[in-house]
Amino acid sequence: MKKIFVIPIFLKKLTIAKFLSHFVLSSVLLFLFLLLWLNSDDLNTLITPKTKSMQVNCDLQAPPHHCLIETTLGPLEITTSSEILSLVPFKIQLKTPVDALSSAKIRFEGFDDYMGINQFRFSQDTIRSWTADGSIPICTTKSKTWKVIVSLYNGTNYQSYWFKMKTK
Amino acid sequence: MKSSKIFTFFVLIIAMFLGVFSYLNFNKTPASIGDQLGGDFSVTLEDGQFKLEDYRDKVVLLYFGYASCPDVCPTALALTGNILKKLPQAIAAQIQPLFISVDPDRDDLKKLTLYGHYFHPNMLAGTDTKEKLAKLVPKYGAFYSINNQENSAMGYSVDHTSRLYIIDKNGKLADTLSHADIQPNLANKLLLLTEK
Repeated sequence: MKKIFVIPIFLKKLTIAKFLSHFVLSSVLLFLFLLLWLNSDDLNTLITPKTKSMQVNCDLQAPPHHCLIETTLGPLEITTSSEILSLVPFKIQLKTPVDALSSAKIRFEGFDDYMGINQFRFSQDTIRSWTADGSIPICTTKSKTWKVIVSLYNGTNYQSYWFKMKTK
Repeated sequence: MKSSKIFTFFVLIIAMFLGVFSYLNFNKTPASIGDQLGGDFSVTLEDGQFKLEDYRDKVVLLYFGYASCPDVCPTALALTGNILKKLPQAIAAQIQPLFISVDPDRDDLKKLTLYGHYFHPNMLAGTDTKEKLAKLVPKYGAFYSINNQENSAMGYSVDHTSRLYIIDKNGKLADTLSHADIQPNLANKLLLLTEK
């Protein structure tokens, strides 16, 4: 009988285990290539360091609109210019005991439901003081409960702390 | 060279490539907010569809609200309209204001057209199905939810993000302005995004 297909020698030597390992490896490589090619957000998500947020006590809504939270960078003072109300601009200030921060941001997430992306970046005033201008851009007739997340970066590590807040 | 060695070599190359890629991206600040938020969309207007991709030569000012909104929406839209009216004609011609209602049950397209024109003659106003709005609104980092009000003649109000979204001529979300920032900052932002 005439041979229709010629099997290459290297395929004859290929065992099932070898074939599977090569197949898996090739698939992984192909997947990585695709991610890079598409400049995929998924890849950015994969390489972004994940930080577990730690709950802290901080009541900024009651006078004197100030709280102190313990972080691994030392005690961090958080102060707002006034009670935070929907649609009213506010200033929020962070103070660290030493020059400990490279960057910081604050995010307001709906505590029970999605309430949009409300994030503000702090800019450095002095070595130990950072300020952000923000406002809760929600048109509502009811009070809202927020999960306020303060994210800190000291040049090496990310840290994240959160507390609950109610706004009118 | 054995095939396993070739694979190891390739894995190392890819790992190196990924390492460089992640290093370069690690502290990268996005050129615009639109790297994460925004994107093309379409909504229904009285006389057809608004498709963002058709407005690549214009700066689009986008606001989500609803026509029965008692104070915040009309204030934001009036401020926007007044600022546009005061801009030089050549600049204003490069800007397309758009109001999207998140209350399609009450806001029909005819009513929305009149509502938009009340604030500015070029202001387009439209809406879409609830399913489509539920996808579009979070795409811009905004939100809305129905808030039942039993003792009100309105029946319900709609909680929503009050923010003006500035989309550049490439269709990218260039900036957002909170309610209080519209009056002091909108004109300057628009001058930066348009050609004199």
